[in-house]
Amino acid sequence: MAILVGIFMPIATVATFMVPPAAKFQQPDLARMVFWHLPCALVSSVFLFLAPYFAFRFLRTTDIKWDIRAVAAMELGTLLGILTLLTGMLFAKTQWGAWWNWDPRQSSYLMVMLFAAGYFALRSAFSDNEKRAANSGGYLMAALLPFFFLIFVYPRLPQVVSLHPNVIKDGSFDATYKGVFYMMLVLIGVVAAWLYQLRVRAGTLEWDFENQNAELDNRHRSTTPRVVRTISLPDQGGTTS
Amino acid sequence: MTEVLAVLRKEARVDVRDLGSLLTVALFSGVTIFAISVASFNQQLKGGIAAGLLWVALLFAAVIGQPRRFLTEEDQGTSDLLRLLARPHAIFWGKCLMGILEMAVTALAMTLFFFLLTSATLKDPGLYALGLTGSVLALVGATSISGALASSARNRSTLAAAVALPLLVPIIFFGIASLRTSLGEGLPENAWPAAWGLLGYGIASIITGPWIFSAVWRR
Repeated sequence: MAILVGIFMPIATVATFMVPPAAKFQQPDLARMVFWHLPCALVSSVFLFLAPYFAFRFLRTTDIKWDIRAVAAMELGTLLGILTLLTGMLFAKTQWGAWWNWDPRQSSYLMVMLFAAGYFALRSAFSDNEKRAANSGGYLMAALLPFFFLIFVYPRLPQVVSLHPNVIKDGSFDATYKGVFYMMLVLIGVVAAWLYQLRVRAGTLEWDFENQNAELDNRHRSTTPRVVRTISLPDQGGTTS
Repeated sequence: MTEVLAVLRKEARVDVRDLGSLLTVALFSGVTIFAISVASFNQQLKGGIAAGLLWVALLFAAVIGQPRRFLTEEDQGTSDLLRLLARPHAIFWGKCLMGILEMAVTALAMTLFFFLLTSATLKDPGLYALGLTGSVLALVGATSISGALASSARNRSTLAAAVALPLLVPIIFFGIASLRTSLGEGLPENAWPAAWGLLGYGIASIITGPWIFSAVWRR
């Protein structure tokens, strides 16, 4: 996986600069930011919706592996979400003239990041692993409806006017542009999935390590079986044990 | 149902015995409306601004008042007894019912003072009533869930409010959209779906709340 990503990522990055500029944008040359911005947003959304699913599985089964997956998904969703916001701000500055335009998609994604901050704040407030997993899982379940509203409903409401172009449907991208965009989408998706796998593995190892530590602690604290024998002390002429 | 009513009675008794919490909400709401009236003295409040200000007052009244129903159980050490006496859904719905009653009274009182003390005018009472009902249900549902989730955490009081605010974001959109039009700004064809959406969100959070609550309450 690492080798494939190592080969294709530089090729795709070079390709993003080689395609002809998208003429329909205000600054066609600088519109290439979309190749990073949009895949980050799409992959981030996938992880942000996977997290409540994993939380649901944890709450049903109380198997900690689901909590580890939920945390990994939230961490990656948040990381990609922050990248989406940052690349979006760069795009906004070059295309619309300001870093932040209070565009409905910008605002709704910022609010999704607030959810993520709430999730991590809640997790950090519990020292007990099971409680932490259950309460933060409950939070993700409660956040599912707002997530859905903020990502899919609010930016598409008819009364809400967005600066965001619908690049796939409105013909802002020609076939070459679309090809590179899909290539970047697949690559960023693969990298994110790979990072997710690593994070889950690290989380599982951390959990196993904590459990082993706890077992060792218990073993040291417990009284080991001792043999009590009577011995004679000739000087005092008696026996003691 | 008996369990739910028992929890509701218990909550009512606690509120009557400890008037401090009710007074805090009342005082906060009153001062907010008074501050709005002072700030807008001699000015015609536009629908959007009026709806936003009223909604901020409602929002903070809910964030102050509702999560404490769950937090106090842990603070006073009564949560274990409650776990033994009632099932999670009964506890959640009992507390929610009391919260709805309290928030409904608060919202009505706020409405009264708001229209008495400011220059805002009500253009569509039906839409306002639906928006306000939906707001009360949605606010109570979301803040109850956040209170339940944060009840056994460290620094629970601060955390409950912090965790509640992101959950309230969609409600803020719907709430302001519906109240704004009822106060004379915006299009009714956009506001009515928002008001129904608010009501739906509130009902959904109160119905699904017990499931989330029971998942964390028993641990």
